[in-house]
Amino acid sequence: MDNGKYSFVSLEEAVSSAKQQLRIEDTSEHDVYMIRLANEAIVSMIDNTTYIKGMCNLDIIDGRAKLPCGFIRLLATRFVTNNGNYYGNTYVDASYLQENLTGFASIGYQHYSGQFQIQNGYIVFNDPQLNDIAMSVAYMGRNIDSNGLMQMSERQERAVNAYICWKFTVSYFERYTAEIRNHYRSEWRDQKGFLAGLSANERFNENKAEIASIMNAWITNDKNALLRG
Amino acid sequence: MTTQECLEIIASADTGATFNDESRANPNFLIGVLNAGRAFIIRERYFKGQDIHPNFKMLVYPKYDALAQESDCYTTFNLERAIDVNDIMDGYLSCSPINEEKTSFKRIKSRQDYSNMTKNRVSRGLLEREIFWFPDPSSNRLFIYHPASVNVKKIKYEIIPEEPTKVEGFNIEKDDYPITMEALKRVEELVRNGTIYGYLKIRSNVKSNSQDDSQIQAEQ
Repeated sequence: MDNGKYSFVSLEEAVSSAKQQLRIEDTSEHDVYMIRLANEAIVSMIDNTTYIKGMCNLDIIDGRAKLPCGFIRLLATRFVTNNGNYYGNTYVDASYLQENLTGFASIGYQHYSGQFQIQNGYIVFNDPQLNDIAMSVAYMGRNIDSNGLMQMSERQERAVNAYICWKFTVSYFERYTAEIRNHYRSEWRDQKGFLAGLSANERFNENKAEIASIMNAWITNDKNALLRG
Repeated sequence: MTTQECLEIIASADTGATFNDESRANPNFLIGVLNAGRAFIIRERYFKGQDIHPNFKMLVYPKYDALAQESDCYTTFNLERAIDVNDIMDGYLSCSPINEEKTSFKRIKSRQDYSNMTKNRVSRGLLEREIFWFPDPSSNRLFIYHPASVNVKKIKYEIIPEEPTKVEGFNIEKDDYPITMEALKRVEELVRNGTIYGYLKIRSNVKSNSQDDSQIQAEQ
């Protein structure tokens, strides 16, 4: 069962739990620090749920369009009219797709470098006069909320909570004993390991059919039949 | 328990030789004793823990003054001073809109904290989109930082005040003084054993001439 895998919650939920655990729920003094810690924790997780495929329309001003927050890799783009109609070629990250998509070469899309470059959070067009149009962008990005903060799946909540408590107790080390600090550190490490294992298991299950077909081909191969004697 | 009743308990307490007849009859002196004792007890009691008893807390509803405003990106209000609880938290607890269902604002600790926040992408993102409160005792102002499109005029904030009787709207005769019975007993104890004697010496500006008519002489 994928408990909590597809149910996403804000990092504030982990902050709220941590504040209760540390018994500082009466004050708002450490909220920002804790949110920073939560974001740090979730960014360090290796889990497919931290990525999403997103889509948005970007306004082009003076040949530049600002990429959305959390952007990692471009998948495809097309120009959009004011009425919302698409036109022109579809530009893609061809070098990435060629490497990762079997049979990509026969599809016939154009690589984006003939039209624009991606630089420092912006799409910069080769034509600097480009204005008053928009571009629809499909991209792979971080799973973020409207504040630009990472979102976590429910199953990651306990790990993020433990990370906040660990870092907070390290900050106020004179107040919390080494035993308490180590307790939170162990919980964070255990939870992170557990989630990494779960993620690897899921990846295996997703690819299981492909692995099975390769293995079947190998087993039924005539040469291998000879080896079996 | 009303402030008046608390003062009567302190005035009639066995304080050894610390109080004289004049100081027992002086409400300002007694309020000073009560405030100093209360602050001392909170620091003593919550030195290691943060579960503050609700009796110590007070809600303040500052009035919006259009003439006092300076900028579009923040709104200012008068600020009441709060005590220091321990190294993890101070007496400025939370601030929120008057509507109960709205969540409280996040806190900015100091001007340097604000500067630090602008240098980190996470806190910078929060600063651009959310509402923050910055209690600044050095200017006696409470700053509410918010996006320019937001109006913040009706707020309340929860504090553990230094001088509860001076909080705006506090009625000495009717309102309950923010203290527990247990803490009140401890104030008496502190006065009797001389722990807050230093405060008392500073607060007292009158002395008795020890005559039967209790004539008071002002200190020169």
